[in-house]
Amino acid sequence: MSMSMDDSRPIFVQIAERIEDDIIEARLPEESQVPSTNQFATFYQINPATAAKGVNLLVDQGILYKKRGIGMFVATGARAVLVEKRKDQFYEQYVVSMLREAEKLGITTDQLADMIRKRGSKHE
Amino acid sequence: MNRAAGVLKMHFQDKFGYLYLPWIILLSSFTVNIIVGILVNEEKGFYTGGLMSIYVYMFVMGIVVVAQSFPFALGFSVRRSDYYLGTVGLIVVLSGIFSALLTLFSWVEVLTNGWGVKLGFFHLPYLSSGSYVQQFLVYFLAMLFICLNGFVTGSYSKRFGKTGTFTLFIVLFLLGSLFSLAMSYYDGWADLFQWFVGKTALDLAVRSMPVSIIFAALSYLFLRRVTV
Amino acid sequence: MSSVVEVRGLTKSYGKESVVRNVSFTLEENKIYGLLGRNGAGKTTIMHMITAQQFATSGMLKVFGEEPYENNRVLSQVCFIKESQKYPDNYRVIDVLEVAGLFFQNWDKVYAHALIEDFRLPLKRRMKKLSRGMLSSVGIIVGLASRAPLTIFDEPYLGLDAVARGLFYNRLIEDYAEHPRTVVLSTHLIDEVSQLLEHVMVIDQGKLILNEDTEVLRGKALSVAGTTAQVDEFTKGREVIHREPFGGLLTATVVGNGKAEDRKRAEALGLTVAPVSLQQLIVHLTNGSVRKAGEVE
Repeated sequence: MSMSMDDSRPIFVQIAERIEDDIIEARLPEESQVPSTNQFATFYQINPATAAKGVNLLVDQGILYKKRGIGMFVATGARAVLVEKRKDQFYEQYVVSMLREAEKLGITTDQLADMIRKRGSKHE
Repeated sequence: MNRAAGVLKMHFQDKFGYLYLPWIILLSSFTVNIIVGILVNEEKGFYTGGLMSIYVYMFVMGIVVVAQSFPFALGFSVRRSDYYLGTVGLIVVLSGIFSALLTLFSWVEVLTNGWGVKLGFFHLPYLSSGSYVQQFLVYFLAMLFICLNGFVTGSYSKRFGKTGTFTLFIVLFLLGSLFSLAMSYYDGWADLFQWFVGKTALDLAVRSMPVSIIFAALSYLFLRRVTV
Repeated sequence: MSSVVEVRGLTKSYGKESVVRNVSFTLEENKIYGLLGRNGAGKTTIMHMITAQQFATSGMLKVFGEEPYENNRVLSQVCFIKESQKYPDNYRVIDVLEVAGLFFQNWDKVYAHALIEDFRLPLKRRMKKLSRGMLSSVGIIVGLASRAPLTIFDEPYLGLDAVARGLFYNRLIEDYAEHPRTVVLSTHLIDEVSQLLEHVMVIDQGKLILNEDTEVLRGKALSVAGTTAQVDEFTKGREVIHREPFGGLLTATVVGNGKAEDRKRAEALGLTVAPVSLQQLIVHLTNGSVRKAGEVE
């Protein structure tokens, strides 16, 4: 994972995404403490206000919550919520663009399904 | 904390340049003269103009202090008026300390009959006549005058730049020439000479005070509108 | 949020030539601002006027609610670090720090000395003998340790290598997080500092052409590529800030509103869409005039 931020998208969104990634991939377990906004700021060399904005985004969505005087923690059930959200995004992000690309190349939906099944069975 | 006092401290951060160097120069001249005195061993003693060196130094210091320290001070959020007060303060304090030292050395010179070689370096005829208080005042007011002269020149230069300074010198030259011509035409030189000769060093020193004050006032007017 | 700097119709002219034209903006407290633009755009003049080192030709300027000229209430809270700062000939690094302590009311001596070690500066060396990079480091240290409520850095990293620059950004963020203040970073190098900035102001030829929250700006512009017909269709009625033919195709950079619909619409038209970084956005804005769609080059 690259340390530097993508300058063409809002950074606070990227901060939120990275925290989400950490939660989904279990690097940040539920009820564990999240680094402080100042720590995010110095680590990624971004403005603390931006880091705070990203964290607050997740607080608003109920993914993180604040323990007064201690810091930010991952809410119980956060992972489940995020996985659901990602599944929705999955369709737009991967499926739609895959279909569009397949159409450009003249690959039919059936051929596409075959490809998926072949690859998928290798994993099971 | 008083920021003008801060400016004074700022200047004295460079003790070498403002306190020590002028005396190094002066005392070098003095040493050379002492050596000459020992070697030549003139029976009736001799006088030298080496004392001038510290006055020349103070004149140059007055000119240069603005270019050296004003942009720095302004860049460190110092007000122009605080800079002005602190720097005039520097001039007064230095002149005071130096003049006191000069008076002291003058006293020692008289006491040791010219440092044992009949050298007149600090105690000079006309300049050092009168009581020690009078001597101090002559040294002090002369130094103020010459240093503030440099200061107003430096301030003017900072305000009006190269073109302005060039113009000023042309104007001064022209005025000087006009004055000379007028004096010659009206035979005024003799009267002027008489006027000067009639005055003691202290007289002239005291008369220089209003001019010094004018120099100081003009410096402020110039510095007020300098941009960095 | 009280405003730290308020500027209305600020103009600076030298004879007929205007270096700063009718600039208006407000700086709020405890934010990091970027003052961006090309060399000679007028940024330095504006900063000199804010710190009363230069006089405006016309316009209103207030710092901490008052006029800064000869005003110690204002000036003692401002620290302006410029790349052209001159130091008295005989001064050493340590002298500069001592004097800084005299004039900046929040000066933190311990912090300054810690930074000296971080930047590896020789305390007893004469300023005249410092390399360009070390000279810049001194400026940065003074700016950081001043803890001045309004701290302005004008191109502070001339001559600094990448490691030292990183150190500067690091220390700036750390200190800003612990002791918030209003910081203005003026630079023509955008990419490195853009992540630090909360708000961006772009000056071009004396005019303020952009004054926007950084996060709003990121992702606002889109770069589209396709045939001239496709591109023109998409750019109708939009603000185009860059057009460039490439092979038989045309690319254009368009200012949108950052929403996903923009992107989808472009893709639906058959265009290839690419993101535009903040730096590219500002470069385009200051490279040439803003054109409306359909204008011929």
